[in-house]
Amino acid sequence: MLGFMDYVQKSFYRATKWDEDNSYANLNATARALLDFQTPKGLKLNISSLSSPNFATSYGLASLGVVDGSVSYLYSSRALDNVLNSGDVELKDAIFGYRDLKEITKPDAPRDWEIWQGGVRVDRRDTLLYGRMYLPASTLEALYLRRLAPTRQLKISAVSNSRLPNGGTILALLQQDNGKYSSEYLYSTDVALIGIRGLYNFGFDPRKALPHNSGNAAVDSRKIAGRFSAGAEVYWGLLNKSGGASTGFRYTTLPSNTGSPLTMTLTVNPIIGHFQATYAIKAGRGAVFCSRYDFNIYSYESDLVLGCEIWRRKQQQQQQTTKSETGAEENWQSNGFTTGGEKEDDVTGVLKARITQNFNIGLLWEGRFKQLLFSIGSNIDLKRRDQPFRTVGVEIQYNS
Amino acid sequence: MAFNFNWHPLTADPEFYSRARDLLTAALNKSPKPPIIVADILVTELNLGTTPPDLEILEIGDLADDRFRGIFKMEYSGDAYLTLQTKVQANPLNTYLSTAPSFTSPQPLAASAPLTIPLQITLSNFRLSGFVILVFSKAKGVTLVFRNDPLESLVVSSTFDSIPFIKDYLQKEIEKQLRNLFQEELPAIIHKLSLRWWGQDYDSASSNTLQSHTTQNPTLNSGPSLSAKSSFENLSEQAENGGSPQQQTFSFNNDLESDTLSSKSSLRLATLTDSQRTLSLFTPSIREAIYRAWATTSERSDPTSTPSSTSGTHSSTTYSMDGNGARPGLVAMASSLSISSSSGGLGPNGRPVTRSSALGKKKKTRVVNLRRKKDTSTSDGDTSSIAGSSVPESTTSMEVGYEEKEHVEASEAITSSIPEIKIPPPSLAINDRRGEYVDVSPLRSPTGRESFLANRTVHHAGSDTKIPPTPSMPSPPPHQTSQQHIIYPSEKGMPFHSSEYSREGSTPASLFSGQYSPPCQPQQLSPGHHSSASSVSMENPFLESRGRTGSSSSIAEKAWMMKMAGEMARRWGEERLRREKAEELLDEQRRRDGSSPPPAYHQS
Repeated sequence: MLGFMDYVQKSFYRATKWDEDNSYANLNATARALLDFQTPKGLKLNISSLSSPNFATSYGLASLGVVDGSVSYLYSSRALDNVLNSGDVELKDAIFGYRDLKEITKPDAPRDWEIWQGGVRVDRRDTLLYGRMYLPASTLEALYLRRLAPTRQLKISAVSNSRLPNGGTILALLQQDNGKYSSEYLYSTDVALIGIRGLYNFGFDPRKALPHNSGNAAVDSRKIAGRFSAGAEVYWGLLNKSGGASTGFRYTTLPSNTGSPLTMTLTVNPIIGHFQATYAIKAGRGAVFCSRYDFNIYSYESDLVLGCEIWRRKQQQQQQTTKSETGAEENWQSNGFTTGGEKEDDVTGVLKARITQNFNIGLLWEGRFKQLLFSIGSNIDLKRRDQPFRTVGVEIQYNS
Repeated sequence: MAFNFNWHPLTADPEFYSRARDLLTAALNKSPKPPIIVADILVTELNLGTTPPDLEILEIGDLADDRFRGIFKMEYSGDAYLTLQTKVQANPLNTYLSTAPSFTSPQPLAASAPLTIPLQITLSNFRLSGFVILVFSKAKGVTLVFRNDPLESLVVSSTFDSIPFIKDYLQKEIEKQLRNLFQEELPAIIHKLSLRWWGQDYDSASSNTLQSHTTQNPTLNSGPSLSAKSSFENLSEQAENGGSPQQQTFSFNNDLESDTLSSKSSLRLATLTDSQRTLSLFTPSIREAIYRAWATTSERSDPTSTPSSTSGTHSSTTYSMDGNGARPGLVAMASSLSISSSSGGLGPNGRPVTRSSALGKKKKTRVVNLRRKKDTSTSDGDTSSIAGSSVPESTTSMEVGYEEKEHVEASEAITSSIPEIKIPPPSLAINDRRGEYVDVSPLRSPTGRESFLANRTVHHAGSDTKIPPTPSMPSPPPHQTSQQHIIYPSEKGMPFHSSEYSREGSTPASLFSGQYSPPCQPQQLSPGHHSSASSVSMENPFLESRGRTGSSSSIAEKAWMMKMAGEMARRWGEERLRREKAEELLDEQRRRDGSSPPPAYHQS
């Protein structure tokens, strides 16, 4: 389940029209959400509130043997009107799941952001500040996010902890998203790590598309059923003189696709000879299946993970949605991430499950009970018959 | 006292390596591993090589049948090697990310993909050098501590030798881990292991190891102290072998108890000690033993005639020190002696009172104080030797030690005109522990040794002229010349003993000087940091008793004399060691004295 602060941050991205998914780092976000989900441990309580459209606070309390907690504050210069409380939020916004990628859009022209008032430019760049203090651990997390331009964003995150080398680390990330391609440049103080990431979307170029109001654009985009993207990343640690690189490809269907939505990725690490292929498909309205296969050509090590995600809906809605074939197509469309115009409160819960090669099973049930968001999860190791339940946990969230 | 350390039998035992491998594997996997190591570390090969380490005894602070405390200087540059197998993470980005906080992680997509590679590491060319403090107590097990970081260098060769970065990294990591192992893990392992050995399976384990020892090393059978020593040596050896807590051959005292103490007498001794602890009125009588009350009263009653009276009484108690017959008694003394000294200063407190009350009724009050008992027995031992019973060749070095002391006392007692003053010196001479010297002297100066020396000279000022040279003796550091492999064959030592005794008996001066100098050396020679930890802790119990006994000096002196006499037995072992170290020095002294050096010492 998405933490409240992550949710607010996502809302900030949406409000400032920043496409998170158009980044090489999120190339296989779907597979990660379906296969690498975290099961809660122990009991966790989160109480959060967006006291004003610009200010959010969150308090967390976790009890796993020892009680620890966190206090976090968030400030956004942009009024976040799209943040909903836990009773109203759509579950698919509050839960990581299958990413229905929308069509890439043409970024705003820088001129569009300019606001002039009496001959003086008064517009300011949107900024988000976030801090979180973990209390007994004395760890401080800080985030500075600034939308420098319609195509640019600066993200500086820092962690301060006395146990870390040098007392903490800072990561600076400059992101550039032109729609057709995106690039990221990062620097981490930890080992003086420098990184470059890039993603290129083949095919449709939103910048060359006809203007939206011409009416042809909709037809154009509808014809494009999918998108193929390729990307690469290179890292080099200046201090430890070691680096890494990878390249990756993704094919995903777009909402205009008439068949079952699916996402395929292939990532290759040429340095260490690692291949990873993922395949995720939405088989029906409320079920997503995903598989991931890892293989290393040097060590012949392989790994296979299977996972699924099942959305439970209210019964009456289910009947209502069994419509004609064209209606089904529209349904897929409406499932898009940002097509949140209509409120989909028919989802009552999501069951996520995964199983690895070692018969390690992860189960997670996320849902809403009255005004509370909760998630119950467990990690089961079938190889240990005496004590199969490795972790069991409950997380409860209340946002207002 | 002899140290016989046999390296080859240790390494020849086929079971030894498998057990050592298991222990090492367990030890290496216990501590948190660096993130680059992703699997358990397996010890596949272990060889201790053929070159034994050099051990140099710097100081023996405490020595008894069930206790030992010593400082060794250990140097090793042998051909031992160790092969480990594990799996390492070959992607440096992966290891970096595993330690970095997730909030600031750059979140690479696939650049951090893991690649585990089996790795074989061979550690060889160990160069170790350090000071080892070894403390053994039967109740508390073995504690082995490195004063400093013993690892000087080692060669790490691995499957990645062709890649310099990884090679350097491995070398650095492994050295770090080994240092940690030596200084933190190894003492804990050895301690735990020793407790296990002395625990429920103590008997079987020790008998096994004893057997292996005896078969391989016949000289070890000769005396309990020898086998104990050898196992000590083993311990310190193991420390060098890449921290392998192998086969701890704790065979101390095992043979001792079984051979020399019958179950009945050990039971009696136990009751005696218990009676003292619990203030029980019942004290079992032990034959062939002199109770302290007798000895003290006799001495107390007639200061001038003390030597004769003591000798008379003691000889009448039929305590003969001859050969094997005396052995059980001696061992009993030694064991109970250790009990007394370990149980601190309770004894001195009550003792003067009982003694003074016993003054009037000679030999009738049976205030049996077990702690003192051995002291009395030792003192009676001297008297017996005084009486003229020539000491036959005893097989154990421990016995030799006793007898020699007895001679010392005897000679002292004979030559000195004033017995009250004289009796303390022998004990002083044998005791090199600072705290005890100070006990005798009413003025306790912080520098124990100086005060002791001053004290001594005061005591002997009138009696003899030989004392003055003593303080100057210790100056040449004997332990520079000494070597680790001090094999002290007791059989060979015998002729020397007998010859020296006779010589000493005739000329107490030479004996005194010869005997005196060794105790001084360790303290002067050992740098401050060596002695600090051990000696301070040792002195603590005596500081207590010192305060109490200081009030009644004359009584205290006697009490101390008795105690000293007991302590002599223990001390003697150390002195002999020191004397061994100071071989050259002693030779000079002997030349000065006109006596030829004993032949046995040259060989060892």
